[in-house]
Amino acid sequence: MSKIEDALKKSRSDNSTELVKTSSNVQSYINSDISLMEYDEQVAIGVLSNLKIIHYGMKDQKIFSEFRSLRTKLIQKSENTNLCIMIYSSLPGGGSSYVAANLAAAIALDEKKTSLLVNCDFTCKPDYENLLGQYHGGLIDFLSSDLPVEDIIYRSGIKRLRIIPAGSTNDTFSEYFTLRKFHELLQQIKGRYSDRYIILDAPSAMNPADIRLLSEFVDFGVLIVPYGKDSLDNIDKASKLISKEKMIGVVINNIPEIFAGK
Amino acid sequence: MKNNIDYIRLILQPSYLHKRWVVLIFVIVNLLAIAAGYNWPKKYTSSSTVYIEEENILGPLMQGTAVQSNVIDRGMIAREIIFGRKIMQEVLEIGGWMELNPDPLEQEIIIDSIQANTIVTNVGRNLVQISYTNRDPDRAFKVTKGLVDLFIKGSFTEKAYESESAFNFIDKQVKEYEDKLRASEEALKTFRSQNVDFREGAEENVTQKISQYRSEIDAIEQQIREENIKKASLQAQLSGETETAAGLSRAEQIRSRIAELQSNLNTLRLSYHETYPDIAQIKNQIIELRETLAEEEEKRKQAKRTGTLYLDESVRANPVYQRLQSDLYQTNTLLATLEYRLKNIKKSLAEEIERDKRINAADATLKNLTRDYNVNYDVYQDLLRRRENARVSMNLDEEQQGLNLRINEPAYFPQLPSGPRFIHFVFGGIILGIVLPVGLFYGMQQIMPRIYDANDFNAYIEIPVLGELSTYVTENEQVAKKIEVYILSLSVISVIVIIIITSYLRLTG
Repeated sequence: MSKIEDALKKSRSDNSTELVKTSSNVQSYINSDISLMEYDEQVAIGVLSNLKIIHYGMKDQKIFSEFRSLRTKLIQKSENTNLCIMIYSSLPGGGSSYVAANLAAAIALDEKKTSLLVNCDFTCKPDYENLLGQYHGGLIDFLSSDLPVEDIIYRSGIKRLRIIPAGSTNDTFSEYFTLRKFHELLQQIKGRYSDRYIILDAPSAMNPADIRLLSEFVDFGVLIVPYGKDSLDNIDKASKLISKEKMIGVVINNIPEIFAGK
Repeated sequence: MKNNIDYIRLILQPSYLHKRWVVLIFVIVNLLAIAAGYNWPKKYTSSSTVYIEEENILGPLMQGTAVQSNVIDRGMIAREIIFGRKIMQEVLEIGGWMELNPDPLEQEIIIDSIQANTIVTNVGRNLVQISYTNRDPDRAFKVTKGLVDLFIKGSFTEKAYESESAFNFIDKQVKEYEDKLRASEEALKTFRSQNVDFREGAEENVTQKISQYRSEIDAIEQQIREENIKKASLQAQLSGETETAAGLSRAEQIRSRIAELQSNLNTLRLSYHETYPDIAQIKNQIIELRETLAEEEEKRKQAKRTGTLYLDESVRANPVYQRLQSDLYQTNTLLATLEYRLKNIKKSLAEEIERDKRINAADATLKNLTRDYNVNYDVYQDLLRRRENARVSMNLDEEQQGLNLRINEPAYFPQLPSGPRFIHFVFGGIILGIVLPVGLFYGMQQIMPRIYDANDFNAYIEIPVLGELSTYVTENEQVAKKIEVYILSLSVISVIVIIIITSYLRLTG
C-alpha cells in the first residue's frame, strides 16, 4: 500500500493546486451539467493501474473489455437511466470493492453517463478511497451529523466518477442503513443527474442483515463470487439474501490468466 | 474426452490456485520420506525351511498296528513348538541376549519381540519355513539356525512324549479294566456260592417238578374223590346187611348126621341083617353121634348157667357183611394214605414255588453280573490289543522312526537388509508428494465444491453469470508473482537435488 500512497502523493503534488480548487468548488459542481464534469482533472495512469482501476490505454485490454461488457449488460437490464446497483461478495475480500470501483469507472467511460460509487462497507478501507483528495467526512459522518451532502461527495480524478467514502468507522454500522436519512440521501443523489448510476459497494454476505437492508434501496444486486475460494453452499446462501427480482446475476472474479476465457 | 478435460481442470484449477500449498506439501512429504528412509532401521532376515515327512517307511508296514499321530497344520504346530517357553529360553542364550543378564520382565519383552519377528509359514505340503528378522544379521542368522535345530529336537521329543503318554494312558486303562474284570469275576463267584441250589437248568428242573406235583395232586384228589364215593356207597350197603348170619349149629349138624345115618341104616336093614357089618358100623356111629350131641347140649346148658359165652359154632358171621366191612376198612385206610400224600405233595409244591421265586431273582442278578463281566472282558481284551499298538508306536517314536524331519534349506547369513529400502521411500515420497495435494483437492471438490467458472456455477445454481473477470495484475504484483514462481520452482528443484544426492550417497555409502 505504501507504493500506492507514494504514487498518490506524487500525483497530488503534480496537481495540488487543482485538487484544492476541486474541493473548494464542490458547490459549483453539484448543480452543474455532465458537461461541466468533463473538466475533471485526470489522475495519473500509473496511480489507476496501482489501484487496479481500468482506464483507457491500459495494458491488459482483456480486463478492460470484460468490465465494459459487464457494464453494458447491466445497463441493458435497465430501462431506468438512474440505476442503483449493489455489489456484494460472498466472502470478505471477495473483490466487491474492486468490481464496484471498476464498474463505476466503466460506466463513467461513457461521456453521457456519470457514476457515483458509495462505499457502504465500513469494515475496511478500499483502494479507491485513495483517489479522494482532502478528506472531510464520509457516509457515516453525513448520517450521524448535519454534514451537507455536498461535503461527502468527492471527485475521484476520473471523469464523471464521484465517490462517497465510508467515513469514520464506527462499530454499529448496521443501524445507519435503517435511517430515513440514508434513504433520502440515495433518492437525492439518484435524482441529481440524469443518467447517473449509483454503485453501492456493500459489505460481504457475511453481514446478511446489511445486505438485506441495502437491497431495499437498490434496483439490482450483483453477487461477486471469488474464483475457487468459496464453497457452493455459502454462495447459494449469499445469492438468496436478496429477492429474486433484484438478483440480477453473479460475477466470478479473480480468474487466473491461464484459466481465463476457457 | 470432455469429461477427462473436466477432471484435469478439476485438479489443475485448485492446484494452481493453491500452488504454494502444493509445493509445500510436496517438499515436506519428500523431506519426511528421505528422513524416514535414512533412519529406517536396516533389518536382516534369515530363513530356513524344514522338510516334514508325513509318511515314513514304517508307516505302511505298521498299518493298522501302530497309531501314527497325525500332523495336519505343520506350520501351526511348528509355531506352537517354537514359541514354547523352553525353546524361547534357549534362543535367548543362542541370540546372546542373556549376556546382559536381563531380569525376567526384560526377558519376557525380548521373547515377545523374538516372537513378533519370527514368521513360521507352510510353504508347501511338507515344508515349513521359519524366518527371523533382526537388525543384526549375525543374530538373525544365529537365531534362525537355533530355532530350526530346537524345533527339530523339540518335535521328536514332543512326539515321543505324545506316544509315551498315549501308551501310559492306555496302560492305566488296561489296569483299571483288569481290576474291574477281577471284581466282576469275584462277584460272580460269590453269587454262585451263595446260591447253591441255583445251577444251570435249575429253573427248568423246578418248573418240571412243579408241574409234576400239580398233576400228582390232581390225580390224588381225583382218587380221594373216588374213594370217598366208594366209602359212601360201602357204608350205605353195610347198613342194609346184618352182622351175623344164622348158620347150622353143631347139635343140629349132629342131629342131621344122625338122621342121615338112620336112613342109611334103614335102607341097609332092608337088605341086610342086623349083623351086617355096615349096619353095625352105622349103629355105632349113630351111638357115637348121640353121645356127642348130648355132650354138646350139656355144654350149652352149662354155659347158660355160668353166663360165659359159648361159641356156638352154628352162629357164624355174615360173609357179605364181612366183605363189605373189610372193603370199607380198606377204603378208609386208602383215603387216609391219600390225604397224607396230598398234604406232603402240596408242601413240596409250595417249597418248589418258593424256590422258583428265588431262582428267578437270582437269575436276574446273575444276568447282570454276567453282562458286567462280559463287557469288562471285551473292553479289557480290546485295550490289551491297543496297548500293544501303543507300545509299538512308542518304540517307533523313541527310535525317531515315526517322524521324518530334516532341514531342507539351512539358515543363511543375510547379506542384504530386508524390508523397504531407501529407494522405495524416495519413490514413495515423490508419488505421495504429488498425489496427496491433488487427492486433497479432488476430495474437497467432491465434498464441498468450489466455483471456478460459469459452467461450474450454473451446474448448481440457476442465476445468470454476468461476467467472468480475470485477475488484475499490477506491475508490482507481476514481479511478486514471478518471484513466487521462482521460489516455488527452486523449492521443488532443491528437493529433487536433495533426493538425488541422498540417493547417490546411500547407494555408494
